[in-house]
Amino acid sequence: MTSLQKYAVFHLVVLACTLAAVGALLLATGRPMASLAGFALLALIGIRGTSMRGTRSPIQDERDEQIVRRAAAASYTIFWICFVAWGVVLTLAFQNGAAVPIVYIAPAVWVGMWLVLAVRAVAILALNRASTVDARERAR
Amino acid sequence: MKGSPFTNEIRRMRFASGEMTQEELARQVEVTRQTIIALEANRYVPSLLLAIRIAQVFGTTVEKVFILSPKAE
Repeated sequence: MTSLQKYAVFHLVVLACTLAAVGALLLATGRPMASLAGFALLALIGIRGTSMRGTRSPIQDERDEQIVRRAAAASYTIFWICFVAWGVVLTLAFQNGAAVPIVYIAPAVWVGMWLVLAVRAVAILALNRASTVDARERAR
Repeated sequence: MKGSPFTNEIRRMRFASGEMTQEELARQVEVTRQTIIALEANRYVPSLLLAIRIAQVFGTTVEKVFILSPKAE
């Protein structure tokens, strides 16, 4: 497993923990807005860049750079599609001129951030795996 | 990364160079082993710098390692 793959797996673990924390807070408090505090766990992603073990860049060569670029493009594409779709859904649900409750807006920021990171991490692993699997099959 | 315009002789040249491992070649050209795997599978088009480094490891020229596919010409 390359550093980039470990980096993506670490992100997925943090994202899963974040989702679990939000779910647990929602169950415990019963208040959707309060449960958003669980998204603070996303800050754990910063550890990889600042800890003693994480000082080495996860990007080790030009192929890693290409994979990260493609994964970022994929994640932002998915994000904008979902963002626009959410805007359309809210417009249809509340009609023009009506106030949209904040409970429908605030989570969108956090969920959007979560989505970008999740798609990016999955795309990194998928793009890495694609070429590795093909090479193994070819070697048989 | 699909549909590479190149085929390459890296795998053959590795074995001709004393059965050099992918890991050894990766170390010499300063990339990950996964990149060598992707190159051998024609799933990745290297930069000019990487292509030259690989050719230098095998003591040959870039065009003898990387061959432009007839469709891409």
